[in-house]
Amino acid sequence: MAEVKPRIKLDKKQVRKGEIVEVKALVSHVMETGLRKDASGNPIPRKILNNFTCTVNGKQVFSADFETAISANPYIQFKFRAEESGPVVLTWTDDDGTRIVGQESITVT
Amino acid sequence: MPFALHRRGLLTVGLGAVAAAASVGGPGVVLAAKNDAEDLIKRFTGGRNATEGRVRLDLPEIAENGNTVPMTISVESPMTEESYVSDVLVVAEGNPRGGVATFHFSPASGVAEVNTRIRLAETQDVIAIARMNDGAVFRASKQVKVTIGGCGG
Repeated sequence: MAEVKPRIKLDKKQVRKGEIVEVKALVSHVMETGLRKDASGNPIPRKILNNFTCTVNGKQVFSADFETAISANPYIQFKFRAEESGPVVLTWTDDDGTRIVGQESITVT
Repeated sequence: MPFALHRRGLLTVGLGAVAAAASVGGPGVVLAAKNDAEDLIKRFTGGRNATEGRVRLDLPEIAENGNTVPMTISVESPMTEESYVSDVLVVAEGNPRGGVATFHFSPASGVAEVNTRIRLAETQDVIAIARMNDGAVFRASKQVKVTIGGCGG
Protein backbone atom coordinates (compact mmCIF):
# COMPACT_ATOMS: atom_id res chain seq x y z
CA MET A 1 0.00 0.00 0.00
CA ALA A 2 1.17 3.48 -0.80
CA GLU A 3 2.55 5.56 2.01
CA VAL A 4 -0.38 7.11 3.86
CA LYS A 5 0.05 10.60 5.17
CA PRO A 6 -2.32 11.44 8.02
CA ARG A 7 -3.70 14.94 8.31
CA ILE A 8 -3.17 16.32 11.78
CA LYS A 9 -4.21 19.65 13.21
CA LEU A 10 -3.47 21.11 16.63
CA ASP A 11 -5.60 24.07 17.70
CA LYS A 12 -2.47 25.77 19.05
CA LYS A 13 1.25 25.05 18.94
CA GLN A 14 2.52 27.68 21.38
CA VAL A 15 0.95 26.99 24.74
CA ARG A 16 1.34 27.81 28.37
CA LYS A 17 2.07 24.93 30.71
CA GLY A 18 -1.14 23.23 31.76
CA GLU A 19 -3.18 24.52 28.85
CA ILE A 20 -5.45 22.12 26.98
CA VAL A 21 -4.55 21.39 23.36
CA GLU A 22 -7.06 19.93 20.93
CA VAL A 23 -5.90 17.44 18.29
CA LYS A 24 -7.84 16.58 15.13
CA ALA A 25 -6.56 13.82 12.89
CA LEU A 26 -7.79 12.13 9.76
CA VAL A 27 -6.19 9.21 7.98
CA SER A 28 -7.09 7.40 4.76
CA HIS A 29 -7.98 3.77 5.33
CA VAL A 30 -10.70 1.42 4.03
CA MET A 31 -11.52 0.02 7.50
CA GLU A 32 -12.81 -3.16 5.83
CA THR A 33 -15.11 -4.96 8.27
CA GLY A 34 -14.64 -8.51 7.04
CA LEU A 35 -18.43 -8.84 6.80
CA ARG A 36 -18.79 -7.76 3.19
CA LYS A 37 -18.56 -9.93 0.10
CA ASP A 38 -17.07 -9.08 -3.27
CA ALA A 39 -18.90 -9.34 -6.61
CA SER A 40 -18.32 -13.09 -6.84
CA GLY A 41 -19.56 -13.72 -3.30
CA ASN A 42 -16.21 -14.25 -1.62
CA PRO A 43 -15.83 -12.61 1.76
CA ILE A 44 -13.53 -9.61 1.76
CA PRO A 45 -11.06 -10.14 4.62
CA ARG A 46 -11.11 -7.76 7.55
CA LYS A 47 -8.54 -5.00 7.47
CA ILE A 48 -8.86 -2.15 9.92
CA LEU A 49 -6.69 0.16 11.94
CA ASN A 50 -7.23 -1.44 15.33
CA ASN A 51 -5.20 0.86 17.55
CA PHE A 52 -4.39 4.53 17.84
CA THR A 53 -2.00 6.21 20.24
CA CYS A 54 -0.81 9.73 20.82
CA THR A 55 2.35 10.60 22.69
CA VAL A 56 3.63 14.05 23.60
CA ASN A 57 7.37 14.20 24.19
CA GLY A 58 7.33 10.41 24.56
CA LYS A 59 4.53 10.28 27.13
CA GLN A 60 1.23 8.72 26.14
CA VAL A 61 -1.69 11.11 26.54
CA PHE A 62 -4.47 9.25 24.72
CA SER A 63 -5.08 5.94 23.00
CA ALA A 64 -7.95 4.02 21.47
CA ASP A 65 -8.80 0.50 20.35
CA PHE A 66 -10.93 0.55 17.25
CA GLU A 67 -13.40 -2.12 16.18
CA THR A 68 -14.99 -2.61 12.78
CA ALA A 69 -17.72 -0.08 13.62
CA ILE A 70 -15.30 2.82 13.12
CA SER A 71 -15.97 4.54 9.79
CA ALA A 72 -13.63 4.35 6.81
CA ASN A 73 -10.98 7.07 6.79
CA PRO A 74 -11.10 7.27 10.58
CA TYR A 75 -11.35 10.69 12.14
CA ILE A 76 -10.35 11.26 15.73
CA GLN A 77 -10.47 14.36 17.87
CA PHE A 78 -9.25 14.51 21.45
CA LYS A 79 -7.45 16.77 23.92
CA PHE A 80 -4.39 16.71 26.12
CA ARG A 81 -2.84 18.88 28.80
CA ALA A 82 0.41 20.47 27.65
CA GLU A 83 3.20 19.86 30.14
CA GLU A 84 6.42 19.79 28.10
CA SER A 85 7.58 20.95 24.70
CA GLY A 86 8.26 18.23 22.19
CA PRO A 87 6.96 16.12 19.36
CA VAL A 88 3.30 15.10 19.24
CA VAL A 89 3.35 11.68 17.61
CA LEU A 90 0.21 9.95 16.37
CA THR A 91 0.41 6.26 15.48
CA TRP A 92 -2.24 4.07 13.88
CA THR A 93 -1.67 0.30 13.79
CA ASP A 94 -3.16 -1.83 11.01
CA ASP A 95 -4.40 -5.43 11.44
CA ASP A 96 -1.40 -6.49 9.34
CA GLY A 97 0.99 -4.84 11.79
CA THR A 98 1.99 -1.91 9.61
CA ARG A 99 1.91 1.52 11.17
CA ILE A 100 0.89 4.93 9.99
CA VAL A 101 2.73 7.64 11.85
CA GLY A 102 2.20 11.38 11.81
CA GLN A 103 3.97 14.08 13.75
CA GLU A 104 3.48 17.65 14.92
CA SER A 105 5.15 19.55 17.72
CA ILE A 106 4.25 21.92 20.52
CA THR A 107 6.22 24.51 22.42
CA VAL A 108 5.32 24.99 26.07
CA THR A 109 6.29 28.32 27.53
CA MET B 1 -65.62 -41.40 37.41
CA PRO B 2 -62.75 -40.19 39.44
CA PHE B 3 -60.21 -41.76 37.11
CA ALA B 4 -61.37 -39.82 34.01
CA LEU B 5 -61.47 -36.58 35.99
CA HIS B 6 -57.99 -37.20 37.06
CA ARG B 7 -56.85 -37.70 33.48
CA ARG B 8 -58.55 -34.52 32.34
CA GLY B 9 -56.91 -32.67 35.20
CA LEU B 10 -53.55 -33.99 34.18
CA LEU B 11 -54.11 -32.83 30.63
CA THR B 12 -54.99 -29.34 31.82
CA VAL B 13 -51.87 -29.21 33.95
CA GLY B 14 -49.83 -30.38 30.99
CA LEU B 15 -51.25 -27.68 28.68
CA GLY B 16 -50.70 -25.08 31.34
CA ALA B 17 -47.05 -26.04 31.61
CA VAL B 18 -46.60 -25.77 27.85
CA ALA B 19 -48.25 -22.35 27.82
CA ALA B 20 -46.04 -21.19 30.68
CA ALA B 21 -42.93 -22.41 28.92
CA ALA B 22 -43.95 -20.59 25.75
CA SER B 23 -44.61 -17.32 27.55
CA VAL B 24 -41.20 -17.55 29.19
CA GLY B 25 -39.47 -18.51 25.97
CA GLY B 26 -41.23 -15.90 23.82
CA PRO B 27 -39.93 -12.65 25.30
CA GLY B 28 -36.62 -14.38 26.02
CA VAL B 29 -36.06 -14.81 22.31
CA VAL B 30 -36.99 -11.21 21.61
CA LEU B 31 -34.70 -9.92 24.34
CA ALA B 32 -31.79 -12.16 23.37
CA ALA B 33 -28.76 -10.07 22.52
CA LYS B 34 -28.24 -9.44 18.83
CA ASN B 35 -24.51 -9.35 19.29
CA ASP B 36 -21.79 -9.45 21.91
CA ALA B 37 -22.50 -5.93 23.29
CA GLU B 38 -23.75 -7.23 26.67
CA ASP B 39 -20.72 -9.48 27.09
CA LEU B 40 -18.36 -6.65 26.25
CA ILE B 41 -20.03 -4.44 28.85
CA LYS B 42 -19.88 -7.19 31.47
CA ARG B 43 -16.20 -7.76 30.82
CA PHE B 44 -15.48 -4.04 30.91
CA THR B 45 -17.34 -3.29 34.14
CA GLY B 46 -16.33 -6.53 35.84
CA GLY B 47 -20.02 -7.08 36.64
CA ARG B 48 -20.44 -3.76 38.45
CA ASN B 49 -23.62 -1.81 37.89
CA ALA B 50 -22.99 1.30 35.87
CA THR B 51 -24.62 4.46 37.23
CA GLU B 52 -26.38 6.79 34.81
CA GLY B 53 -24.59 10.11 34.62
CA ARG B 54 -21.24 11.87 34.27
CA VAL B 55 -20.98 10.53 30.72
CA ARG B 56 -22.25 12.65 27.85
CA LEU B 57 -22.85 10.82 24.62
CA ASP B 58 -23.63 13.05 21.67
CA LEU B 59 -25.04 11.40 18.58
CA PRO B 60 -27.56 12.66 16.05
CA GLU B 61 -31.23 11.72 16.60
CA ILE B 62 -31.40 10.67 12.98
CA ALA B 63 -28.43 9.51 10.93
CA GLU B 64 -29.10 9.64 7.22
CA ASN B 65 -25.97 7.70 6.44
CA GLY B 66 -25.08 4.93 8.88
CA ASN B 67 -21.64 4.66 7.33
CA THR B 68 -20.38 7.69 9.10
CA VAL B 69 -22.21 8.94 12.19
CA PRO B 70 -20.42 11.63 14.20
CA MET B 71 -20.12 10.76 17.89
CA THR B 72 -18.78 12.85 20.78
CA ILE B 73 -18.22 11.50 24.25
CA SER B 74 -17.21 13.55 27.24
CA VAL B 75 -16.94 12.46 30.82
CA GLU B 76 -17.04 14.76 33.84
CA SER B 77 -13.85 14.33 35.82
CA PRO B 78 -11.15 16.51 37.38
CA MET B 79 -8.57 14.35 35.50
CA THR B 80 -6.02 14.54 38.33
CA GLU B 81 -3.76 11.76 39.60
CA GLU B 82 -6.29 11.14 42.39
CA SER B 83 -9.37 11.04 40.23
CA TYR B 84 -9.55 10.49 36.49
CA VAL B 85 -11.36 8.59 33.77
CA SER B 86 -9.23 5.68 32.68
CA ASP B 87 -11.28 4.04 29.90
CA VAL B 88 -14.46 4.49 27.94
CA LEU B 89 -16.13 1.59 26.15
CA VAL B 90 -18.59 2.20 23.33
CA VAL B 91 -20.92 -0.55 22.09
CA ALA B 92 -23.68 -0.61 19.49
CA GLU B 93 -26.55 -2.99 20.24
CA GLY B 94 -27.79 -3.41 16.69
CA ASN B 95 -24.57 -3.87 14.72
CA PRO B 96 -23.35 -7.29 13.53
CA ARG B 97 -20.59 -6.90 16.13
CA GLY B 98 -21.18 -5.04 19.36
CA GLY B 99 -17.81 -3.37 19.81
CA VAL B 100 -17.25 0.13 18.49
CA ALA B 101 -14.18 1.41 20.30
CA THR B 102 -12.44 1.70 23.65
CA PHE B 103 -10.76 4.98 24.52
CA HIS B 104 -7.99 5.23 27.09
CA PHE B 105 -7.34 8.39 29.07
CA SER B 106 -4.94 9.41 31.81
CA PRO B 107 -4.37 12.54 33.89
CA ALA B 108 -2.15 13.68 30.99
CA SER B 109 -5.28 13.81 28.83
CA GLY B 110 -6.44 16.85 30.80
CA VAL B 111 -10.01 16.41 29.56
CA ALA B 112 -11.84 13.14 28.90
CA GLU B 113 -13.35 14.03 25.58
CA VAL B 114 -13.23 12.32 22.21
CA ASN B 115 -14.94 12.66 18.87
CA THR B 116 -14.96 10.13 16.04
CA ARG B 117 -17.23 8.76 13.33
CA ILE B 118 -18.89 5.40 13.64
CA ARG B 119 -20.86 2.92 11.55
CA LEU B 120 -24.40 1.95 12.53
CA ALA B 121 -26.12 -0.85 10.63
CA GLU B 122 -29.67 0.11 11.64
CA THR B 123 -31.72 2.07 14.14
CA GLN B 124 -30.39 1.12 17.55
CA ASP B 125 -29.05 2.15 20.94
CA VAL B 126 -25.43 3.12 21.38
CA ILE B 127 -24.02 2.80 24.90
CA ALA B 128 -20.95 4.48 26.37
CA ILE B 129 -19.51 3.26 29.66
CA ALA B 130 -16.78 5.12 31.50
CA ARG B 131 -14.50 3.48 34.04
CA MET B 132 -12.83 5.71 36.62
CA ASN B 133 -9.42 5.08 38.15
CA ASP B 134 -11.15 3.87 41.34
CA GLY B 135 -13.17 1.31 39.35
CA ALA B 136 -16.52 3.12 39.49
CA VAL B 137 -18.48 2.89 36.24
CA PHE B 138 -20.90 5.36 34.68
CA ARG B 139 -22.99 5.05 31.55
CA ALA B 140 -24.99 6.91 28.97
CA SER B 141 -26.98 5.63 26.04
CA LYS B 142 -28.62 7.15 23.03
CA GLN B 143 -30.91 5.86 20.34
CA VAL B 144 -30.01 6.73 16.77
CA LYS B 145 -32.47 6.31 13.93
CA VAL B 146 -30.58 5.17 10.87
CA THR B 147 -32.00 5.80 7.40
CA ILE B 148 -29.34 4.01 5.35
CA GLY B 149 -27.46 1.23 7.13
CA GLY B 150 -23.72 1.39 7.43
CA CYS B 151 -22.50 -2.09 6.76
CA GLY B 152 -22.19 -2.09 2.99
CA GLY B 153 -22.47 -5.46 1.30
